[in-house]
Amino acid sequence: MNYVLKNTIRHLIRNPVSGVIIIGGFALSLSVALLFASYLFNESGYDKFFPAIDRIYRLCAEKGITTFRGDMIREVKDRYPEIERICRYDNGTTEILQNKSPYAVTNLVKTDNDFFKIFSLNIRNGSKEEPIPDNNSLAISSSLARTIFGNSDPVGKTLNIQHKKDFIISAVYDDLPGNSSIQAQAVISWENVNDFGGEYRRGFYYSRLFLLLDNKSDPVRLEEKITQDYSQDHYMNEPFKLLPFKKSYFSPMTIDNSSSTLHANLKSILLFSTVTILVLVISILNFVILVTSNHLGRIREIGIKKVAGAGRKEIFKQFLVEAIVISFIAFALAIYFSLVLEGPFSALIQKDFPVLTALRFPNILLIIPGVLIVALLAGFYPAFIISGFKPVSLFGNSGITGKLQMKSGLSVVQYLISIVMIVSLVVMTRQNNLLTNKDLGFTREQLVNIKIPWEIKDRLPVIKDKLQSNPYIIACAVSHGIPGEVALWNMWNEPLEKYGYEGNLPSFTVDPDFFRVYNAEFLQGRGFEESDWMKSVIINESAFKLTGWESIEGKALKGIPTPEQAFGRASASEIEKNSLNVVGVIKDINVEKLNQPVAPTVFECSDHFGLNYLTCRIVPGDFPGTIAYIKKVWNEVCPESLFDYHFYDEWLDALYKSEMHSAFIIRVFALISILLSCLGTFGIMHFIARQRTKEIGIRKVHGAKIIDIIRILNWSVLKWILIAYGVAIPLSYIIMQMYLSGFAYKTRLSWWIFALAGAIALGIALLTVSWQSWRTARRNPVEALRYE
Amino acid sequence: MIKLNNIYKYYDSKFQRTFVLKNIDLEISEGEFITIMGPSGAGKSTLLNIIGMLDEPDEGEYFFLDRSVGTINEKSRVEFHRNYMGFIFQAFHLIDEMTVYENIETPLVYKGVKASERKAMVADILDRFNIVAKKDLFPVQLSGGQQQLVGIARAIAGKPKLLLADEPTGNLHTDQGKQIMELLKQLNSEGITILQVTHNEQFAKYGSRIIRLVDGMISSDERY
Repeated sequence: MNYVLKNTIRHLIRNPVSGVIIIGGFALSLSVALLFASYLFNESGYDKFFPAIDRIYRLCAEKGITTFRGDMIREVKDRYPEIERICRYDNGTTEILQNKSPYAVTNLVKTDNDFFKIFSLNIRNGSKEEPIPDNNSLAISSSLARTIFGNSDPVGKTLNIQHKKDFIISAVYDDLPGNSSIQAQAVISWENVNDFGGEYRRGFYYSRLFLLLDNKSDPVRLEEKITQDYSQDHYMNEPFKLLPFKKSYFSPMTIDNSSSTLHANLKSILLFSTVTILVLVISILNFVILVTSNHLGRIREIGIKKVAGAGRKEIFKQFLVEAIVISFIAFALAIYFSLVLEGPFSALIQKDFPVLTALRFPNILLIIPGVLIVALLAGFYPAFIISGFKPVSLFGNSGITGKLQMKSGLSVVQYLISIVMIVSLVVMTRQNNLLTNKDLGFTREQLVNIKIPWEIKDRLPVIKDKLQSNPYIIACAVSHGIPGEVALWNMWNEPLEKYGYEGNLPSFTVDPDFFRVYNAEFLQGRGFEESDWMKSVIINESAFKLTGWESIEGKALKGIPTPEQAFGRASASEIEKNSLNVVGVIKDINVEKLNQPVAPTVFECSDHFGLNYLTCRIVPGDFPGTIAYIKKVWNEVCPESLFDYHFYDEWLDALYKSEMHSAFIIRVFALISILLSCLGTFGIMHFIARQRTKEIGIRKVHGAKIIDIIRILNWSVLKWILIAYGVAIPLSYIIMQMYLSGFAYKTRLSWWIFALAGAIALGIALLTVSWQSWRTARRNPVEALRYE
Repeated sequence: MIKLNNIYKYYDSKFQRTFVLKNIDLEISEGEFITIMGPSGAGKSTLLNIIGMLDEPDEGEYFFLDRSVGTINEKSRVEFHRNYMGFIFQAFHLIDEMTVYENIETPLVYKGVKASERKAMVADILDRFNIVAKKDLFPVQLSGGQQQLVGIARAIAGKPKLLLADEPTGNLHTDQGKQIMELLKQLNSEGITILQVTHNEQFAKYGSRIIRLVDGMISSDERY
């Protein structure tokens, strides 16, 4: 072993070009893999530390349903003895005041006493059985306690939440670790939901539910029972699922738009793992190409060893061990690289994680075999080929030629990957630009959105009046959501002929000023007026087409149920009495996410679905002054609520941040893969030049010019890139089609994108190769021929 | 020790067959020192390759120590190389990345000799060839004659019965050449069978038998 090790290192020193390329390339791709591994290790560590993790379940249903009627839990607990404990769990940002000085709290949890037991929170101070004995109790984490009270004991002291209600601190518990998907800085009883807002639907508050089952019970069986017993209760008719909590962090079922529980970014993981594998493949190919190309340099060594009594096995072993040694040298370098890259990488992923988690004890047991596998994958083929050489050529002059074709063939794969990456990079960037610059059907600039709690509903007219008196504020409107994030409610699943149109019309509730604020374009009719409240609707172009009407003159939508009516609280005849006049048609605007097509939508002039946002259109010129004014008005009229605002266009950009990130990750990895492919090409050229020294000498002696030689040498590599290009076009076309199929508005896959990708790959390869060719071509032919 | 019956080696091209060796019958007994001579392209190296089991004849039989080489597998071929044969080359063919010591040690490593024993054996050879002082040098740091000395040291390290030498003096000055030939003669007198190819009439005379090849056939076979 020592013997091979020493020899490997000497070889590397004697062949610095291939040494640097192989080790450097390996190190680069291994550091990418290492970063990814630590990311994954960090992610997979989520929630694993909860002592009862195997018995904790979360109630879910397909189609992203994660919340259920909150008052269900007592009944459920009594009904099913399997359930040992159950708690509701809501989580949101809030403001906590101590003697009028406010503290921002990111995770105020509304839950039940069972929460502490299910998640085994360690109560430091206070009752272990009932940490929050009543609706006026508050439990806080020890870090929050330290922030507010320093070292003094907070139990029994009073804190105010959102200027609304005083709470008496009843317990202090140890903080949950950072890699817990549930977070709690302060905990109050779920019953406070009336005062602090929650997911309110159909007359009930909804919540996430966590269950702790006893040891013996079968979750599948319980799941079936719940589905059976509650099929009526459940508005979407999807079967209930008991999702094991240990899987919850990665499960696609628990992705919801709220940030109540943390969730793994599955898209990032998928993208990241794909590119990591591709980069590894490229560097393994680099290794194979360089080592096998280098066989000319080593054929003599193999021959000598063979006549000295080495069998194929010994030579094979030697080359495998070499691959392993090189891999581990590269791995050592990779650790260094990834420590350097840790910072920018964490920023890229937007998650803090130490690279060294991958190197800690149990994890390293996976990493080391991983490196070994990479080494064996890289080393096997060269070892196999090289150990098969016959030592015949030691005597006499019979040269070794050919064989190199195959290896250059491998670089086809490398360029294939690179070209596909370049195409993806261009397409994803263009798709992003399309999303961010898309015409939404209204003016996105100079809009300010302010989040409003349900409780201040009655004070909204006052706020609106005050705001509109400011000359910098053109108009204000209240709506159920803001365009770009709303999941529309599909209210009418009934046979619809009787309502005067066919098909489903989801609706969106707005106040009379909405269209004025958003500058929507009217195709027919007029906008809402105060008198339209609860009486009229405006439909969009798509909905208008769906109805088949020629004009909206005198038309009405009949029998649209109010939300309360829709869920079985009114008889059909009662609903049928409803009739809403259609007063206008607007050009389609995107209310839902931009990756969905515009649905036929009804805009109701009401507050059926809640009023969550106040939007102001403001005049450019004095943004800070205007915001300050809005804040002043807000604090005057509703001092108990936090002023939470954003500019609409900035918010919209943030909404598509994850797309931007994907594009950025692709950009970084496309660069790395091109760089690695270049290294490989450089190495191949190095050996081609060496191998053809004699031929070049002869050609030059017979009058070939430098440019002729360069052409000959370049062609030997460039032809492979052209082949790669030929394969890459259809392949990347298919991949990009798949990617774009997830969007309603797609960028076009123009021919020039593919041309550009090819040109970039070819250009870079040409630059890489030409320098070598030029150097070789310029050499004195006598020098080349002398050795023969 | 070696017996060749009707050995043929040829290359087929489209319309004709080019013979490298034609109808070679040859018998070599243990302890002989044979020189093969002949013009370029006469087939000397090919014959050496076949005897050294680096190449296979297209026709004919080859017996080494009464075993038919035509039928043996890769594994026993490696065994023959390990235990019975040593090679010396015109271009020395030392491994550039290894020191003198390591080069000599190579056949012992593959033979599976234990490290401690290996050390003693290599030390013996270094001593005998008077190159102890050079043991940590790399081949490039040695003169041609010294390199060939190391080459021979390596060839005999595994205590072979047969030494195959392809123009061992071809790249050397006459004086260095003479030294090498003296050494080979001495090794022969210790019982090693030697088969050398050379162009040099003077060096040919160190042997006990000269076989001349012309156009792939044995034209004369003289013993002294």
